[in-house]
Amino acid sequence: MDNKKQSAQRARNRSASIIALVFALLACIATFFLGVMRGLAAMQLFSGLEVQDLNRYLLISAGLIILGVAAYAIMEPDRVRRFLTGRQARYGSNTLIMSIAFLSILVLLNVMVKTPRFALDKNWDMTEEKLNTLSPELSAALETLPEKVTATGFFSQSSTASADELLSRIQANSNGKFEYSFVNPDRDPQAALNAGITGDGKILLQMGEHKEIVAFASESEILKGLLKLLNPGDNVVYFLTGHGEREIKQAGDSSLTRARSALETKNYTVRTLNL
Amino acid sequence: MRNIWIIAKREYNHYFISPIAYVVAFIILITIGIYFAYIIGIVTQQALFGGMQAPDITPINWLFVFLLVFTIPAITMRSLSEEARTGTLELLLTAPIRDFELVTGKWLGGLLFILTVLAVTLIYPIILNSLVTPGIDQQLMISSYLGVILVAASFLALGVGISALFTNQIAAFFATFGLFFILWFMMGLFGNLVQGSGSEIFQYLNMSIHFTENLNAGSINVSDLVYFFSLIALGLFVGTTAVEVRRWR
Repeated sequence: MDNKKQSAQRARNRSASIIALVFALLACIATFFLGVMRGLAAMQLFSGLEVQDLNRYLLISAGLIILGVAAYAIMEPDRVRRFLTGRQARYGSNTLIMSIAFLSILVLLNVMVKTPRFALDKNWDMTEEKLNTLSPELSAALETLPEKVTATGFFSQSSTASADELLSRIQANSNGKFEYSFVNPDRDPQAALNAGITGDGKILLQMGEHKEIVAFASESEILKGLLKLLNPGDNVVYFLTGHGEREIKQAGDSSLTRARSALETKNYTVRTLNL
Repeated sequence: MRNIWIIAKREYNHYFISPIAYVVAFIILITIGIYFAYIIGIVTQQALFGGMQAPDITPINWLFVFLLVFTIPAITMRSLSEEARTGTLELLLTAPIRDFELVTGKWLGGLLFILTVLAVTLIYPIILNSLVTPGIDQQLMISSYLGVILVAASFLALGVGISALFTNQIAAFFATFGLFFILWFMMGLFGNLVQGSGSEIFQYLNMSIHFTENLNAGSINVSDLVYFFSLIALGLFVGTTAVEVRRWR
């Protein structure tokens, strides 16, 4: 009689414990999907729910998992003990912990290298003509920056890579005085409108209240923009004309068009003067 | 250490028995040979019309790495999955070697094979150097070859790691190829799709940027080296763990 009662009790316990496990499993699935949504929200791909709400739901569903597992453990202590002390669980948890530790070390290492504050990301330019190093004029301009310059690149899809490479090189050589970000004008036309940018591939430089728009991402154009920020006024260079002096406007064998464009990239306005 | 070397040598010799290695070497070498002849033709034509672009080794090495995306899965697919399928893995596991040594040996054997194929392509910089005055940029060449070796090493490590997860070679091939495809082609697309820090992460994971725009352009960054060594470590770790799990599962 006693035996019968006990086995009936055990059967009831078992069905209840399975319900607890199923409950925990459902909570697990919910947590997974909420986690994916949270990840997408972090990348600004998902905006169906507020981030705070998502965080709250995540906490709740994680709590439900723990609750379900705990209920199961209370109802079936023997099984849980056997599972936890089994060979597979022992080795499995070992492997799991090792994997998590290893992955964390790798991720940490890569994040540390890319963090500008630690300045670990040294660069060696192997090309003979130093093609990957900033021109001396640009590095000099970066050194004389009185305050922080923020650059916003307005680039649509796929064209960012080379600009990103150039801007990150400038940032690395600026002692923290140059920072940049990208905005996709196709996805955020209002930002481009506010900045007064029309067209693709332009960069807005900002230093304090001064603003300067760079036409495209090249070293000389950015240098021009920075120099304009540094010396907001117009510096005019006059070339004399009218007495057989060399031509600066029209290209020719003895003309100075190259000199004129070189001066213009250094933020001088070039004019002619007939005395 | 000696065990790693023994396994690597055995694996290396094994490649020259199987037809796959010959097919892979043939595909890589003939494609690069044709491409080289094409480049030389283009440059000669341009020189006739006053073009000033001196040829260098970077397009050849870029093509080599591009072909690795497709060929390395074929090289690594059988490394550990074949051992598991034929049952020789059990023999290896009872031998007095560590799992780590087994996986690293397999990886090193594959790397030696790729280095052998790469050594054959050294003929191209030698030809270019004799064609161009005053010779090609040799530091750029070193950086470019370092890039090729790093990409090959990380691809091989990932391939060996994945092959340890599977018993079926075809499954290992497609899983490896899928991973390489994502690393090489898709990461840039993902990076363009999202904005903010997500984009930065994808751009960092994009292997083609680390190779094409940095190492193959003569710019060596610490982050590139850390990236590639992380991938090598990850691949070897996955392989070691997968072999270890076979012991107690």
